[in-house]
Amino acid sequence: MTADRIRHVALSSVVLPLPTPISDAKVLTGRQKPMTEVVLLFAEITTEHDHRGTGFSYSKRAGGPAQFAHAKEVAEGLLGEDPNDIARVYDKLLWAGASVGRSGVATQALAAIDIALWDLKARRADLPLSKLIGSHRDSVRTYNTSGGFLHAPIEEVKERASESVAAGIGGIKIKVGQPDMKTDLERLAAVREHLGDDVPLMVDANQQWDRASALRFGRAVETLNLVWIEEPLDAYDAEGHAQLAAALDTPIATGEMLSSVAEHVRLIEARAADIIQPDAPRVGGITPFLRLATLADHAGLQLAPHFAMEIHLHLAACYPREPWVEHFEWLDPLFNERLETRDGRMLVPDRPGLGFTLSEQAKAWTVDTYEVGRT
Amino acid sequence: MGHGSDRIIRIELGLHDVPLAFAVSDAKVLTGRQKPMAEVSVLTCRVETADGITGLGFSYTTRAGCRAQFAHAREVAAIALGQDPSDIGKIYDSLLWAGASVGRSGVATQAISTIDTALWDVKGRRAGLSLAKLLGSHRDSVRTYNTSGGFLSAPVEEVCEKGSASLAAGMGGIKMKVGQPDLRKDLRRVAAVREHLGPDVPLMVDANQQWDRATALRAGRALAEHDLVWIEEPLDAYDAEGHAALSRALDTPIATGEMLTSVGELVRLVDLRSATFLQPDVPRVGGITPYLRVATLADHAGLQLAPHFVMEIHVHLAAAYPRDGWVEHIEWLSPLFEERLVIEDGRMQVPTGPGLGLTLSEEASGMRRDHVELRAD
Repeated sequence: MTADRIRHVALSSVVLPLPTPISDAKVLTGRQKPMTEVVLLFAEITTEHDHRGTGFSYSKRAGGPAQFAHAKEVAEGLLGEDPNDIARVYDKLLWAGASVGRSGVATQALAAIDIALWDLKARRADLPLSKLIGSHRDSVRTYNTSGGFLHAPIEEVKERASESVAAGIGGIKIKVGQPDMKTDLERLAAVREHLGDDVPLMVDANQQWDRASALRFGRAVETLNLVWIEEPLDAYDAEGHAQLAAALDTPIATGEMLSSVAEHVRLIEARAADIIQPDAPRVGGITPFLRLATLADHAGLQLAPHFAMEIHLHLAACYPREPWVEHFEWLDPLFNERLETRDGRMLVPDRPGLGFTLSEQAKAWTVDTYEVGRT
Repeated sequence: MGHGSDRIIRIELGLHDVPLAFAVSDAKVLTGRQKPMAEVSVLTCRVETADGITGLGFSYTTRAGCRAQFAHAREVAAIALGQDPSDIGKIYDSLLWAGASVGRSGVATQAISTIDTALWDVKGRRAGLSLAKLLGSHRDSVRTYNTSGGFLSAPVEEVCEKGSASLAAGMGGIKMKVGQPDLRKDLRRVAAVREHLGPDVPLMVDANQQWDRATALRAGRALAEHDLVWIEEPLDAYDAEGHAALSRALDTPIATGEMLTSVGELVRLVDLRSATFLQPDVPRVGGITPYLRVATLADHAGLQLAPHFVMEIHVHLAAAYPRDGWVEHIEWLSPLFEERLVIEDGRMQVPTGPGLGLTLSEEASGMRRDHVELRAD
């Protein structure tokens, strides 16, 4: 068996417009403007043996151009490397950008490359990514987020929730964290009443409470049997999340904003969450995701990865404890394939790799490209 | 404009590649992790206010990263337009939230550091005070040591010669690189330099993260006889636990922290007492605002500070730290600026002009690779 070599890398920056501007609590507290687009970084890697893999990273609001610029600057280091030795290649590119650290843009730019290499490895083995890693299940519980944003009036939230349940989604998440907590509680009560007691329901405060408000809210909603309260506090407040997790019966979920294994390890060590929510593109790819998943399982935590269901469905299927995957249809137009949801669960595709190919629409939304090596 | 209220009306960002006189190698090159470095990339930021005050800040990368810093700064800088330049922490938070998707460490904060530093410069200039005096200074000069003569790319005779030349030029200490694959070579070089300089000259070594824990401990024991001021980066920059164990085991002080890119990362070193000399770097940790947070926590824990690189900024911050420290003399960025820092009797003088006391040179425009200017409506 001869080693394979990377011969070509293509990077593209794709701007995906959102049909409606999106607001969570960060907008209502004045910290951010409504979101109108998502910027994606795609990496397509080809080897001497003509194996191909595609991966992506993304940014909501600012950060996409920096990810693209950094990937461009380090991509040449991939040429000639054996695509099978993913961690070795990863370390090489990380050292090239040592000046900008091991967190955030530096590793998020590498995430697209890392994910492409995992996709490539699974395709070489002719296995879905979940099977390459080793899966615990063929489908994963899934919940819908996109109907519950704060810019939607409560009637619309209720309608969309019913549609989601009818479409086979297993749970409904709605946003909270508005400056007036009473408004949150009213919206939440209305949705619970509308859905009945049996539909799994989550809330997400997007980091907008202080510690005292989060505790009071948590107490006020204990009887609603929520699956979790997400990001009650600042994303980096591991200590505060740990206190809440200890004080409340309702589970605490957090972790989506963190951008390295080390940042997640703080959450894990402090037991800051019952349910940890890493995001493979945000933490730097599948390689770091798998490291922190091992640590999280060892600590007895549950897993509900954030966004990017196209990647996380595979990773959730491989986690020993029963996880959730977040259903977000935003990225659908970028791919030719669709994920199937039935009886509250998302089915892991049996296509090799991640099981996705880039659509013509993705090419049309491409704003910048960079290539290195031989096609 | 009422008392105390001003507005940012213009921000200009420039990406520069500053060539080095000769390509340098530390241990990361000898272990095959990196190639010799021939240039430093610098992101400059000029902020202009409605009151007519202009401030200058800058960030940098050694090797890859500065293109991303420029791209990110360009994307978020407009948010600072129209804001009051005096409320630096508030502006900082607004820029950080805009890039929340890319975290609070590395490129995101390094890009913001240029704006943050420029705003501190504005504040110093507004008050007619040097940055050191604006913060409140403990001394008018800071002990300084020279690094640029001691790279592994130089034969030991050259290291000795350059060491003598540095001392003659007023430097207070000499740092040399170690961390080669063969430890015995390092030990021979250090012995030769110590013998050449004599026992009284402060001498530091820097392994640039290339030892494992066992090797670092053995090297530390073997180096004890040379009475070093410190052993720098004996281990991987993120191995806070390993550095703490070494600090406890060795009499020679341990120095580390230059590679870390956020307050959160440096706090781990402080909490675990991983170093006797902490080495934060303003552009790397995200600017003067986060640096000052680190400094407060470090002082509280009883650590000394020896900030890394960019003496043009760090001379002010080292002067404002309660405990006596060291500032690193590296002249690589000098071509970018009109001014030169004064060194005598082993110490670097804190400039007395307002702010950082820096203006971009004519030569800087020739090194500019990209540029953008943003104006308030």
